[in-house]
Amino acid sequence: MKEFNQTVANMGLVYLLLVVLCLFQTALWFQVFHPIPPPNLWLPIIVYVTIYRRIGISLLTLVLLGFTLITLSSKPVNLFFLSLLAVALTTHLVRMKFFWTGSSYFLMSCLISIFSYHVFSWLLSFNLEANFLRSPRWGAWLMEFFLTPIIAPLLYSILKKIDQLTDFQEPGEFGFRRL
Amino acid sequence: MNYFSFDIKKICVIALLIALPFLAINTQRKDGEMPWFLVPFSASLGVVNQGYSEFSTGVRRTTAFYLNLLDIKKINLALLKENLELKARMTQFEELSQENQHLNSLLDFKKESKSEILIARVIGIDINADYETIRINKGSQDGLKPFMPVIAPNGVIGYIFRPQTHSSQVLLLSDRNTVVDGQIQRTRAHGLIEGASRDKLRMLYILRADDAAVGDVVTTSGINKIFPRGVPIGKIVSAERDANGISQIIEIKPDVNPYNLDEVLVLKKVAEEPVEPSQ
Repeated sequence: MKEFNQTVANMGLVYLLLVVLCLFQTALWFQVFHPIPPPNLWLPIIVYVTIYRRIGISLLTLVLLGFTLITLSSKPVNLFFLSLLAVALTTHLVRMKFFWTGSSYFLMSCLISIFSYHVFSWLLSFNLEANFLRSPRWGAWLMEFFLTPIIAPLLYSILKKIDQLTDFQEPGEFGFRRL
Repeated sequence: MNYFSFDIKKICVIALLIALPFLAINTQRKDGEMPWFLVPFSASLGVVNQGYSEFSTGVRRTTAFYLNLLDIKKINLALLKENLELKARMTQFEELSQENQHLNSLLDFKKESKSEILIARVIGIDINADYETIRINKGSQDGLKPFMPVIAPNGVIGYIFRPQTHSSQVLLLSDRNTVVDGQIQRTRAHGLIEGASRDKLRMLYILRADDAAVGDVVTTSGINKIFPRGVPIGKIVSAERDANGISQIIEIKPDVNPYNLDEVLVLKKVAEEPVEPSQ
């Protein structure tokens, strides 16, 4: 029961953080810094839950966060979820191959995820959309690639704080001890 | 005693003493005239006086200049501060003036138009960089429904895509999934307009025989019942005839950049008459 409560509290706080970050990205950044493309602030959260959660909880959180993100975009639902799953799978595969504790690993994963998200989005759009993405916004992609890692360490510390508050344990190099 | 020996000096002094009262009595003061014997004195005095005056003025000016230099830094700083304050006020004033002008144009447009119009504020953009939507602060609570046209006083923006309770997503004309029926204002040639990028639209299915030239204005045709007829979309920037096909490849530069707008107009009920764009 305690584990369940911890999980719910943790997911709730992560969800809240995602909402705050999404609004920062789409509303505040747009109002203040437009026309500079905003950094991708929601992808690091997807990366974090993929790396530092068991696969079941990770997928559950992914679906929950995905439903929230869909309301903020005109991207088709199937494409969005497939892109998210592709990113999660890539991150998970990298994690299985090599992993070390600390923020540098998270930062590296964020960089990989931004690259893979855009590549998979384009490939999926090419295959599944009738009117596929012909001219990607390279400038925005590049800005995301450069800006997101700058913000990633801060997000990492916030997410770690949430884990500490809800008594979640970070996995070691040999996997999870609990949760 | 020698009566013929004279002391010349004594005689001169006595003569002068006798003459002085007579001179004083006879020399009356006349305004505007300088006595002849005073002219050389006056001239020499004038020269000296002028020199002295110039010198003293120079000294006074130099002293004042150095004294002013001591305060000039303080005054400069104060002026700089004042200048900055004035500039800030000026910017604020210009901002307010522009906002006022924009709101007035919206109000004028609302008054002139026969459609039922709702003014909404732009509050956000799409979370994905490759999809072109904006978020407005009016939703289903305000009576917004999907496919309601969203325009600015000078052109089309897009249509309501996904209304939520308090806000709505607007699918922009520049999104690749948006399709609007349009016509070239000059020739009345019809075609479908779809988004290509933020600053470029494509007009499809315009026949080779149709007349389309660079600079032609493209407006909504009103056929698809989303937009009223005659709302400006943009201007043709390139028109090329397909070498093998039966159509033309036309590129349009949109009149409105929705990302630069603060407010937009949602047409809740479209009037039958064409919308006249405001200048």
